[in-house]
Amino acid sequence: MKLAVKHRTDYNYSAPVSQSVNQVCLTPRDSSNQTVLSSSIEIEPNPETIQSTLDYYGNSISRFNLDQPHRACVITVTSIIDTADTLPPLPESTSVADIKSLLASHYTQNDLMAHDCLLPSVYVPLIAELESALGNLPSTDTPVLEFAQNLMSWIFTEFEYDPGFSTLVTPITAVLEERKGVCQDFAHLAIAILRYAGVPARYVSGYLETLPPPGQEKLQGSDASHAWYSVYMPGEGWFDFDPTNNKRPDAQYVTTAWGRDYADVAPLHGVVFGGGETQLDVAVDVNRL
Amino acid sequence: MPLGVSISAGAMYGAGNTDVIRQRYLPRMVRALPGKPGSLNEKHSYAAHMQYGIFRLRTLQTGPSIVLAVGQIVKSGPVRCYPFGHRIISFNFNYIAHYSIDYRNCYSVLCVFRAPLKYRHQIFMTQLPIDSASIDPPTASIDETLDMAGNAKPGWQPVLQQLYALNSDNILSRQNEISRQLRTTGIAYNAVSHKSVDDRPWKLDLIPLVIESSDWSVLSDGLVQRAQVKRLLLQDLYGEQRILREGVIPPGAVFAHEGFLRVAQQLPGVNEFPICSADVSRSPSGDWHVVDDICQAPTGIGYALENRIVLSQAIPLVFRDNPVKRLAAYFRSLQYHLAQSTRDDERCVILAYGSTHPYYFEYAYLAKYLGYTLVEINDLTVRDERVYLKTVSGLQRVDVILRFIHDKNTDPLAVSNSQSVGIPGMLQAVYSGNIKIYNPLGVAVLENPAFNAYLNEISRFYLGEDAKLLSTPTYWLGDQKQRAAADSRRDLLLYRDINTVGSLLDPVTMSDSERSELFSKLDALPERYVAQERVDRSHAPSWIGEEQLQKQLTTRCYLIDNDGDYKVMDGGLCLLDSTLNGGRPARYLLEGSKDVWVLDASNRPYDTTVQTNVSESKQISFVDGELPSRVADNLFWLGRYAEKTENTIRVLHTALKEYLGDEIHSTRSEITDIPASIAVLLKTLTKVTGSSPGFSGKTNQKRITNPWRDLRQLLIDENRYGSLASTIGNVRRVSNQLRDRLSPELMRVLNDLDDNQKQLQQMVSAADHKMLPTDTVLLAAINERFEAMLITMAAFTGLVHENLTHGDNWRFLMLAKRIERANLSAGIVRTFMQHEVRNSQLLEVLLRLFDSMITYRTRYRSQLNAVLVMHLLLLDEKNPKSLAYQFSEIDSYVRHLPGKHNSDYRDPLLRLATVGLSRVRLANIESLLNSSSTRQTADEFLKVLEDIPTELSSTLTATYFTHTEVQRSLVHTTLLQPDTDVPKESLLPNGADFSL
Repeated sequence: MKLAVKHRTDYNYSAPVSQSVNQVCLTPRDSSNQTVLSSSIEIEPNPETIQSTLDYYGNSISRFNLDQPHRACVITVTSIIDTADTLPPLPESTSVADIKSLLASHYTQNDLMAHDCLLPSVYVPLIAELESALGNLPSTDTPVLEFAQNLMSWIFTEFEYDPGFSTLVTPITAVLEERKGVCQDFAHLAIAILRYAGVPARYVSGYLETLPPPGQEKLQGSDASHAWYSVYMPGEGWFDFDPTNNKRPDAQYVTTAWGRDYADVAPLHGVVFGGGETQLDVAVDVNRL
Repeated sequence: MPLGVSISAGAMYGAGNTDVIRQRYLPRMVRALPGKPGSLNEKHSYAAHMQYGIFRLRTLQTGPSIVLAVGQIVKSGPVRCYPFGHRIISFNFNYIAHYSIDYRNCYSVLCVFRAPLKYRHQIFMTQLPIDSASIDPPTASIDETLDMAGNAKPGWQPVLQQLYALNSDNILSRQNEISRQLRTTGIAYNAVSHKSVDDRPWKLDLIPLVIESSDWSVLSDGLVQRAQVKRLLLQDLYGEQRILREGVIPPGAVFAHEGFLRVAQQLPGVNEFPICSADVSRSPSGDWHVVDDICQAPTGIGYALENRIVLSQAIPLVFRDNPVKRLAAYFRSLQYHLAQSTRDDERCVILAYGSTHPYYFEYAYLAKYLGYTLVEINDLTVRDERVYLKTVSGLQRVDVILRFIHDKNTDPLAVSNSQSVGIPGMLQAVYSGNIKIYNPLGVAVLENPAFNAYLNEISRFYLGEDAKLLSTPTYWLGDQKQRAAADSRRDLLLYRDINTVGSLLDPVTMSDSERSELFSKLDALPERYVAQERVDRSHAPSWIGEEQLQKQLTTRCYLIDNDGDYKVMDGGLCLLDSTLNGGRPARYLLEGSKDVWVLDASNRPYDTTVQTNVSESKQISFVDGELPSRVADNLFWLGRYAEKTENTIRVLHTALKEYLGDEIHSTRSEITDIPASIAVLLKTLTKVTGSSPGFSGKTNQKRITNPWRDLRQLLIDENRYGSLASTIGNVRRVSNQLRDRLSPELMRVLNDLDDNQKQLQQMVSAADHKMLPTDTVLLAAINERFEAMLITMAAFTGLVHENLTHGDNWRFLMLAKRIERANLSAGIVRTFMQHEVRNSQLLEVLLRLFDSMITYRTRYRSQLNAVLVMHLLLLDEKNPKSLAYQFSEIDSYVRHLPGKHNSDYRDPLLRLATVGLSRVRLANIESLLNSSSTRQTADEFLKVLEDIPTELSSTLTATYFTHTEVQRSLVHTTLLQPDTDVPKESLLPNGADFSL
C-alpha cells in the first residue's frame, strides 16, 4: 500500500532566536516491511547546509543550523512509502526464560542491536516495580513472541489511552501507577517489562494511517506521529507490536526510525539561543495514494 | 615495661575465624611472635611485641592482602612503623607507641594500637626476618627501593644517599621552597573552594620515584602495546565491530558503557587515538599492572611537568648527578602532533572547564607552557559548520582543539537526550572536517574497565599476541562465567560501576545494609559492574616534614602518537596514598605526589627545549588580539578590584595614622569631640568601600564616635561587602581565573597581598573591637602591614606595565584601573568638599590620600592652599594621581580598543570618555571654590565625574564582555524531558570524571 506522509513542525518564538542548532529524525527508513519511494525535507528559513546521514541504528537524520536571527522556523518532511500488504505470521520462538542465553551466542549485525536492547536506557530504567507487572503476564516458559503479544493485549486492556494525561514522556513508574498514558508511554512500559524479563525489545517511531468516521471528510493535519515496540527472536528477526491499538503493525503503519527508546529517535531536538517563549505546532497527514 | 598482661595468640586473633588463620598464618605467627603478645588495659587497645625484622600489621577480615602497617626494627636505631591503615577501618595509628626494648638480647618492639571493636579480633601482626627473601610475594606491598631479593636497587642508592645526607633544617627549607614554588605557579590552589590556598594544597615529595631503565623499558613496551590495541579497538568499535561479531567480547560489555558514543560512528577522526594515558602500579610480584586507562585527555601532564620543574630546582645537585630522562620530548611530540593537523597560521586552543574545576590550574599551566589559548565551553561558537573563538576583536576561527572536557560536553546533541552543556553545532563542524579535536569524540569507550576482563583475548584478536601489560584482575559481571567466579568470593572483591572512573566499592568497609544494597544492585544490573581483585601497590619512602613514612604509589604514564608509533613520556605523575583497597584512591584521599625519575642507561645529552622540531611554517599562531571576551572581562575586574584594594588600604592607613597621631586616643575608647579629619576619613572610607551601613549620613554620628566595630569588620570580614578582606578575596578569585595570562611574578605579588591580608586577619581577629582603640601597638603594627600592602600594590601596577605585552590584555586591565580610580578620586574629593575644604589639616589628609604630598611641596613650596591643592588633585594632567590624568588615560585607552576609530563620536564609549575628559579640562577651580553656593556647584561637578566611569564600565561590559545570549535548554519537538529516571548532568562534571 502506498502512503504519503506529510509532517509539518512550526516553531514560533516570542523573541528573536539568534542561532539554533537542530537535529531531525523524521525521514522514514527502509525495512523489511516498507520501501521509501521518496522523501524530502524543507526548512524555512533556509539553512546554509543540511547534513543528512544515517545514525548508528541506520535511521535517516538531518542536522542543520540557523545562524541568522529568526522568529519562526518551519520544518516539513514529505515522504511516500510503499508498505508490505501482507503481515507474515509470528514464527515459533524460544521461551522468555531462555532467550537471553540463546542470544549470548549470537553476534550478527541484527543480534548486536538485540544485545543493545537488553540493557536499560534513558527512558527505560529497569526498576523493581516491573516485577509486579510481570505477575500479570504469562509465565516465562511462554515463547517470547507469544509473550510479547500477550503483553500488548494486557496493556491495551489494563491501561487507558489518555492524550490529556501528559504530552511528555512520562516516567514508567507514573504510567504503572496511574494506569494511563500515550503511545510512547505504552511502548516504553512494554520495553521495560520485556527487558526486565530478559527479552530484547526496541522502540519504533512512525505513523499510523487513520480513517475518518464513516461519511466524514478526513481533517487536515489530524494524524499524529505514533510509537510502538518490537521484539527480537534470534534467527527470525524483529517483530512489531502496537499496544495502543492492540494490533501488530500492518500495511497502515509507516516506520520512521528505531532505537533503544524515544531518546534515540526524538523527531526533533536542538538548542536555541534567545527566543523567549516557544510556540510549537505539529501537523501530520497520512494519506493513501 | 608495660608488658603487663600476657595473652595467648588465640585470644589475640579471636575465636571466630581461627581456622583460616591457623591453616594459613599460624606457623608464621608463631615464628613471628616469640614473645607473647600483650594487651593493655585500655579498652580496644592491643599490644604485641616482637623481635627485630620487618613486621606487618594486617587485618584479616579484609582478606589476606591488607596490610595496615609495615614496620622495621633494626638492631641499632629507632623503630619505624609506617601505618597504612587509618583510612580503611578508622584504625587510628595516632595511638601507636613503640618501645625499643632489649628482650633476650634482641631488639624488639611493642606496638600499641587501638582499633574499633568490630575489628579487634581481626588484626594481627606478622614478622619476617629482615635478612630473608621469604617475604610473601602475592600478598605484600613491595618496597620500590628494594629489588625482589631485598637488595637496594642500584638506581635508587645514589638518590637516597644524597637525600638522606640532608640534615633536618635542610629538608625543611627545601620543602618550604617546594611549597612556595607550587603556590606561585598556582598549583597549590584549590579552585573549588575559592576560600583558601591552603585548603588541600598540592603536595610534592622531596623524594622522587626512581625507575631504572631496564624496568622502565618493560613498562613502556607494555604501555605501547596496550595503546596500539586500544587504537585498533577504537577503530573497530566505531567501524565494523568485528570484535563483537566474532564473539571475542560480549556486546553487552561495550553497550552498557556510557562512553560508547553512538554518534561517533559517523564522525571522521575516530580512528585516531593520539593521546593516551594509564595509571599503573607495581603488584607484589614485582610486575607492573594497569589500574586505570585515561583516554579522553592527558589529565595530569601539567602536574607532572610542574613537579619536575619544582623538584629539579629544590634538589638541583641530586637531579644533576643522576641520569634522569627529560620530559620535554613528550611535549614536543604533542605540539608536533597538534601542529601537523593544521595549515599555516591556523589556531589551536586548549578547551577545558572553567576556573571552578579542580584541575583548572593544570589547564592554565599547560596553556601557558605550550603557548595555546585556554578557552572554555562558552568561549566557542559554531557558525557555518566552523568553530570560532569569541574574542574582543570578534569571532576568530579555530582549527584544532586539545580538549580537557568530556565527550558529552563537546556538543549537547552528542548524547541523545542529554541536557549537558556543550558547544551546539560542534558535531556538524567535526562531521564536515572543519575542526580537529584531540582526542576525538568517542574515545571514552576505551576507559571501560570491562575490557580488562578480556585483555588477552582482545590483544590476541588484533595483534596475535598476549598482552604484555596486565590490568588489575577484573571480572565483568555481565558474563555468566566470570560472574560465577566472582560470586564465590564476593565479599573479598572490590566493585566498580563501569561508568565511573576510579572509585571502588569495597564491601569490607560497608555496613551490612550497605553491603546487601550493593549486592542487590549487582544482581539487578550485572552488566554495569566489574569486580576486581585486591592488589597491593608498591610503596616508597616519603618525607612528611622530617618524618619519613611509606606511601603507596600509583603512577600515571603518558603516551603520544608520533607518526604512527607511540612514545611514552619518560616520567609521569606519581600519586601517593595510604588507602588499602588496592584500587585507585579518590582524589581527596591523595596524600601527595612524587616526580618520576626514569633513569637513562646511555648518557646522551638531554634535550629540554619545547617546540624545536615543529617545522617553522607550522608554528601555531598565538597572537595578541586573540583575547577571549571572558578573559577580557576577568582582566577588567582584576584591574578594578586591585585599584579598589589600593584605595581602601590608603584610606584605612591614613585614618589610622590620624588616629594614632591624636593624643587623646589612649585614654578613652569613645571620643566625643572627634577630630574633623577622622570623621571625614571615615566617610571617605564608606565612599571607597561602598560598604553599608557606613559613616556618612546624618544619623551616623554614633558610628563615627565609636567606629571600631565597623572598622574591624571592614578589615577582616570577608562576608561584608566592600571590606578589605572581601575586595582582596575578589582579587584572588579573579586572578585565579587568569592563571594562563598572568606571569609567575604577578602571581607572586598577588600571593604576597594575600599573605599580608592573612596576617592582618590574624592580628585583628585576636583583638576584640573594644580593645582595638587602646592597643596602639597593634594599631601601629596594622599600619605597618598596610604600608607593606601598598608597596605590593605598587609592585603589581609596575609589573602590569613591565610584564604584560601592551596589547588588549594590558589595555583592558589598565583601563579598568583608571576607571576605578577616576570614580574613587571624584568620590573622595566630593566627600571632602561636602565637609570643609579650607581647613589645612583636611587638605593635608586629602593630599596624602592622593599620595601627592611631596608633589605639592616640591611644586608650590607654600602653605596649603585650597585652590592649588584642588588644581593638583583634579585638573593637573601631569600629576598621575589626578582626576584629569585618569580621564586622559581613559580616553587614550578607549581609542585603542579593538574596533574603535578615533573620530566616531557616535560610539558610546568614545563619547563618554570624551565627555569626561573635556569636563575636567574645561573646569575652573576658582569659580568652583568661590562660587556663592560653592558646595553645591562643586558637588554637582564631581558627581558627574564620579558617574561617568561607572557608565563607562557598563558600556564596556555590554560592548566587549557580554557573551552571546544564554543558551536555552534543548527543545524536543513533541515531548520534553521527564522529571525522573533520567540521569541529570550537573553543569560541571565532578572531579571524579577525569579523576586524578
